[in-house]
Amino acid sequence: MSTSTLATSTVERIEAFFDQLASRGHVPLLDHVSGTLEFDIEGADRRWMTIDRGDLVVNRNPVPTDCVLICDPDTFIRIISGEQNLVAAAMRGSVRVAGDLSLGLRIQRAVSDGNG
Amino acid sequence: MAEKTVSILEGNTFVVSDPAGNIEAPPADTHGLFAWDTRFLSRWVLTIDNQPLQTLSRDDLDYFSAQFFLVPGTGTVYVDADLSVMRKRSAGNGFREKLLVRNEKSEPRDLELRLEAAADFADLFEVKDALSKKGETYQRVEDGRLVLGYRRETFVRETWVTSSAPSVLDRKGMTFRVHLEPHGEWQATIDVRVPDALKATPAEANGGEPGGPAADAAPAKDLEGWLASAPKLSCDWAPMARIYQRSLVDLAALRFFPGIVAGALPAAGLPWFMSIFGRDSLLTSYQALPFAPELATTTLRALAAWQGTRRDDFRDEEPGKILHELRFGEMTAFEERPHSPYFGSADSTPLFLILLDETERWTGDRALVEDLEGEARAALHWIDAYGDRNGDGYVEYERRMKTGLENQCWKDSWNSILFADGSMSKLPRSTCEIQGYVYDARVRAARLARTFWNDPALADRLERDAAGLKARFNRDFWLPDRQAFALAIDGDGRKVDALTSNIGHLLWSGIADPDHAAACVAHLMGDGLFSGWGIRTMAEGEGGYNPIGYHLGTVWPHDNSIIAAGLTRYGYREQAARVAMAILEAATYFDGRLPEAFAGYRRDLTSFPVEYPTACSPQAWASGAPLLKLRAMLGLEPIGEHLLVDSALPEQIGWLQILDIPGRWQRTDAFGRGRGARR
Repeated sequence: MSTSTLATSTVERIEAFFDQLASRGHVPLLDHVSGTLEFDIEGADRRWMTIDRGDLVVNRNPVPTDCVLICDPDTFIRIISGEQNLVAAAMRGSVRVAGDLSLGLRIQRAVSDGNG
Repeated sequence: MAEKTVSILEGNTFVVSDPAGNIEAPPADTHGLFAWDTRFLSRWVLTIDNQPLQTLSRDDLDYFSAQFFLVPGTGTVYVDADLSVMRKRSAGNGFREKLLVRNEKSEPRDLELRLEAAADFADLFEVKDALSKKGETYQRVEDGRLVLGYRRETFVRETWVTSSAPSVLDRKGMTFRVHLEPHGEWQATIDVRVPDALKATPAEANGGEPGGPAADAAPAKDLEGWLASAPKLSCDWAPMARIYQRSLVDLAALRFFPGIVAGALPAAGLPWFMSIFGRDSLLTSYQALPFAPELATTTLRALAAWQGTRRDDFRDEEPGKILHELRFGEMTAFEERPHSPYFGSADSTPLFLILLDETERWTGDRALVEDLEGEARAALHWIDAYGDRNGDGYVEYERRMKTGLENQCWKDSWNSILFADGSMSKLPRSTCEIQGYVYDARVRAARLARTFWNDPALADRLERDAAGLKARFNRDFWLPDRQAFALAIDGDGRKVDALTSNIGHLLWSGIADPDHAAACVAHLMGDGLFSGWGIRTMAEGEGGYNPIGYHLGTVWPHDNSIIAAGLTRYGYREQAARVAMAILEAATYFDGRLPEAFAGYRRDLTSFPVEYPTACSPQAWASGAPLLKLRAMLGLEPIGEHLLVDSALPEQIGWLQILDIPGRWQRTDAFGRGRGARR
C-alpha cells in the first residue's frame, strides 16, 4: 500500500497523533523511562519516539531503537483512538512487536496520561 | 487413559502426560504441552513396531524433569521383555526428550520407532469450558523439522519438532528405523519448541532453546542455587523441615517469567493459574519476603509495567489500577476474554502499595521505591478517584460488563458475600478487608512520600486520610449486636453481617481499634470460626455455612497466614502460634504441601484435614503460607537497619532457628525457644 491510496483523513489523524505526542514534552509518569520506540505504520509513516527520563521527542529520521511496533494504518488509528487494545493486538499478530515490549506498553501510558 | 498423570514444569511451560510419558489429550482435559495458556501438543505417543509400551517405573526427578522406563506390550502381566526403552523429558520453552532404546537380546534386530505428534492449540479457557476452535490447524515438514501450526486471521502459533537422530518426518509425526546390535543401544534427542506469545512471527518466536535456557543442567543448577540462597531452617518439631523444603521447591517451580521485566514472579498455581495475578503474586511475594525477596521486586516491577492507563469497561480497567490476571491465549488475543490484562480486583492496587513499602523495609531497595514513584502515586489516585465509586469514602467494586468477575475481592466466587441468614448481598460491595488494605496502604505510602519522594505534604494528607478512614470504618462496619466487623457494606448500604475470616485481615492491616480487635480475636479463636485445623472462611452456624463451600466454610492456609500475622501485630502471640501450628499440622497430612483449601469440618470430627476437591496444586499462596507463619512465630520485623526477633512458639515446638535471612542487614539469624523447650 502506498501513501497515495490512503484516505487523507487517515494520514491526517496519524500526523495529528504524532504532533500531539511531540507537544507533550515532559510526561511525569515516564520519569524513570528511557529508550526509543519505532512506529512502522506500513505504507504510511515511520516515526521514532525517544523518551529520556520522561522527556519525549518525536523524530522523522531513524535513530537506534529498543522496540519496534509494526502495523497497518487502520490498526494504528484504532489503537491511538482507544478502540483497539495494544496488547491484544500484539497477541494476535495484528501489531508486530520486536524488542522491548515494556517500552511499547509505556506508550499507552504516554498517550493516556491526562485523559484518565 | 491412565488414571495417574505426570506433570513437569519450568518457566512458562508445563507438560502433563500419562505414566508412560504419552500425551493423548481429551479436549477438556489438561493433558498436553502448555505454554502461554495454549496447548502446543495434544498428542505425543511413542510406539515400537506399532506396539504401545508399558511402564515399568517412572521417576519424577524434580519439578522440571521426569524419566519413564518402558518395555513393549500392553498386558497387565509382565512378559519377559528383551527391549528396554527410556524416555527422559525436561521442560522449558517446550521440552527436550531423550530417547534411549537398548537391545537386551544377543541377536541383532531392526525396529521401527514412531512418535505421533499433533497439536490442537487449545486456549486454556477452551480446555476449561470445552469450547471448539475457530481457526485452522496445519502441519508441514520443512528444513528437517515437523511444524504443527494454527492460524486464525493474523494469529499464528507453531510448534516445532526436531530430532538429533535421522528420522522420516511426515505430517503426523516422525519415524526412526533403528538397527541394534546384540546388547546395543540407540539414542535420540527430540526438541519440541514453543513460541514466545508476544513475538509475532514463528521464526522469531520459536527461536528459544527447549528444555530450559541451556537444556539439561540449567534448571537443576538453578534450583540448587535457589535452595542454596534460601535461609537455612532447623527445628525440633520434625515435620517443619519437610514443610519448609516443600514450600521453597514449590515456589521455585511456580516462578513465572513475565518477560516484560527481568526476573521471575510467583504464578498463582498449577495447572490453571500459571500466569501473573495481581492479588496472588503480591500476597505470595509478601509471604516470601524474608526468604526470597527477589520475587517481590519482580512482581512490583511487572505489575507497575502493566498498570492500568485508561477506562476500559471490558477489562474493568481504570488509570492507576493494578491488574487482576494476565493471559496470553487465543481467546484473550481476540478479546473473547478480557484478560489482556483483566483488572477486576479491588484489592490488588492497595496490596501493591503495601508490598512496595514492605519490600523496602526488608531489602532497603531505595531505587525500587524511587523508580515506581509515578506508579505508586497513580495507584493512590486510583483508590480515591475510581476505587471509591460512590464517594462514601470506601472502596467498592462492581463489574462493568458481564464478562467480568462478580466478586473482586479474594473470595471471588459468586456467592461468597452473604448475610448471616444466608441471603445474598447487593452490588456494589465494599468488603471490610479491602478497607483495611487501603488504610495500611495510605499509612505506608505516607512513609514512602516522606522518606523517598520528598513530599511531606502528600505524607500528611495520606496520614489524615488514613486516620479518618480508620475512625469511620470502626463506626460504620461495626456490628454492636455481634461484636464483630461486618463482612461488607452492600449496594443498599446494609451491613453484611455474616461472621467470616475477613475480620482477621483487619488485624493484619491495623485498621481495627484495640477494643474491636479483642472482640474479633475472641471470634477468630472461637468454635464458630476455628475448626481446630485453622480458621474457616465462614463461621459454622451462619446461614451460608458449608464446610465444603469454596469460600463458605473451608479453611484456606494463606488466609490463616495473614490472620496469624495480624494476631502477631496486635500482640496476640499465643493465638497466632495456635493458628500457625494448626495449619502446619494440617500440612503434615499432605506430605508437607498445603492445598489451596481444605474442608472446614471440626477437627474432632474427621481427625485429619479433608482436602477440598480442586485441581490446583501447588497453589502459590498456600506454598507461601508456612513462610509467613514462620515469620509470625519468630516475630520477625525489620526495624531500621536491623531485624527484630521476638518469638512466641506454639507448645509443640521447643526451638526454631532460621539462619541467613537476607535483607538490608545482608544476612542475619533468628532463633526462638518455646515454653516447653527441651535442651
